Amino acid sequence: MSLLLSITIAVLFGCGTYLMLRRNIIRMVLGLSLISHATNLILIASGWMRPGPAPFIAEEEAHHGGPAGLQAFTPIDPLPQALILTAIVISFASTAFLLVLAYRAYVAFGSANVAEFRRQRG
Amino acid sequence: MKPGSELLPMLPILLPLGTAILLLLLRKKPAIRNLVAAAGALATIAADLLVCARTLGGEVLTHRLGGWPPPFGILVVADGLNGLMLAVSAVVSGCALWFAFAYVRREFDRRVFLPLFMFQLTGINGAFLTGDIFNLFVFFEVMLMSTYCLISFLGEDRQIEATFKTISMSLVSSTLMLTGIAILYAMFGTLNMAHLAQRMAQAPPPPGIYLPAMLLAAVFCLKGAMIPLHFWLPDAHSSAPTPISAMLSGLVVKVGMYGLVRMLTLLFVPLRADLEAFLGVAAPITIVLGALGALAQSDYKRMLAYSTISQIGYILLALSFGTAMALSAALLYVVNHAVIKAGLFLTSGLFLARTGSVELSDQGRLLEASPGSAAAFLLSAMALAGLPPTNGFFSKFAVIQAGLATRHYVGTALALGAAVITLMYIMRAWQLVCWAPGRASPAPWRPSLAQIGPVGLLAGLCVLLGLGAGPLKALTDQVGFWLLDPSHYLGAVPLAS
Repeated sequence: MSLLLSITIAVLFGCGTYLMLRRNIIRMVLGLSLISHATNLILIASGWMRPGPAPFIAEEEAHHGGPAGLQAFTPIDPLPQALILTAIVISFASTAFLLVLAYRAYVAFGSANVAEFRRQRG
Repeated sequence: MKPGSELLPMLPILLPLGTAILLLLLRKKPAIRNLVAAAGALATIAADLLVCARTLGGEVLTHRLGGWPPPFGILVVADGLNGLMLAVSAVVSGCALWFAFAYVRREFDRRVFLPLFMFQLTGINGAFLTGDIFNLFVFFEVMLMSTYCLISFLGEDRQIEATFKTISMSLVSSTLMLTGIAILYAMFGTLNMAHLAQRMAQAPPPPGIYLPAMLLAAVFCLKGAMIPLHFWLPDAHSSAPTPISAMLSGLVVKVGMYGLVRMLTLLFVPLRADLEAFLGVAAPITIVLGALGALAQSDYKRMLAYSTISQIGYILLALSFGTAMALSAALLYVVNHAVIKAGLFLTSGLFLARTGSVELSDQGRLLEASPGSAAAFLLSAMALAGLPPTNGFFSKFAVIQAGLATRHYVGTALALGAAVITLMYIMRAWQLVCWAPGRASPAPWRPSLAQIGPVGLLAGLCVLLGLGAGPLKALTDQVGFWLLDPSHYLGAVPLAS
């Protein structure tokens, strides 16, 4: 499973980087969102790789291995999942802004090719 | 009062946030909205200075968000370094906002500008104050998101282009930062900076520790525009609206420097020597190439943007020396550069108001037209070039002294050489603007109070901090000493487990 996860992360990062290096502005946006998904998967993995005791169980329950039904599982750390929610919201907002900006750039420069966005040099 | 329940360290974050939300609600009532913006900014400045005064007295202020104990909840910490950064934030943001009242004239623009400015200030102060590394990422994003909007909201072509470069760079760096944080969490199982530092000190760090360290260092260097990660900065800082340029060069790049200082003295203490070696190579290159880039510009704001890169190099160089004296020199440089560069960027707003352009060849005879503006410009320019009695002299002197004391002769020599180039480009700019019979008319021109006020204030501060260099240096020495003694910060953060 962890091999599968690492391969997925690698493929996402690879495809994202490839797309980011394209000249078409929409492909760049797609590449950026792929990379941010890859990062979210890394965050998932960071909690999932280090199983520990279940959080927020009363002490006497924890003593008996947690409430019945929980004993069958190795609980994973839930904090990274909360972090991912934050990260997803942030990358959603950034992507939305970037798409609007891409449209404005298309109107301003008359092209979706990033190589045309070059008024400033030096 | 219980430790950690005091609200004061939260105020520099809460006040601009509250003001921003109020401004969004009041956007269609111009008179009351401007009043709220000014009051909110003044309250924030007061809170900044209060935190600064308390922390420089040796206290470490903490606030537990929601009352959760440290390793579980988010902690806001203010030590001497935070106090110093907040004082910088107060001065630069106050002057930038004052100038903005003269610069952002159209009603619609102001409606957008004021809340965004306050959100940016929230992000900056939050990044300075938080004691939690994921929360640092969140405040970075708050700061960056408002920065993108502030650079582009006037909608000129070059601003769109600059924003596009900035946003694609920032999004990649955010990804790197998040990856670094995830790896750190996987290794140490905590996000609290003090807790991380404690766990890292307990056992020899695993070899993989270099990965998050390099990722985070790359992020902070990108924010601080270390060469070769500088390419986005000249566009962004030169095409942004003038008050925002002052905020970007004065404050936003300093957030990157703050992150580096925290990395070196708290988060990655075991790797300090390696990180310093890395900075020691990159910093002289940044100083020299940035200064040469500035020399090649004909656009005043673009020249200042390249100059920022070069000056950031001096701070990185001081950080690479690694002694308490060098750390103090770096902090002195951070404070002084913020005052100097914010002042110089605001003078570009004066030129724009007078001639409608910031090209150096369109200027001329400012000395005849407005001697007051020319004098303020001269003081800030002297400070940038490092001429006594201004503050720029003392910060350059401190860096070079620290370099000689630690026998880093090559870096120090390059820094001295680049100081000559700095003198060349800034004095050339002063001559072209103030003396040369350029295209601008010598007819008398009177800037309004909101234009000359902040410029004069910052120029006056350059002289004041130069004359008061002794006490200021004593303060940064003290802060440098606290930073190198981890128990000062860690002792104030009672960890539950």
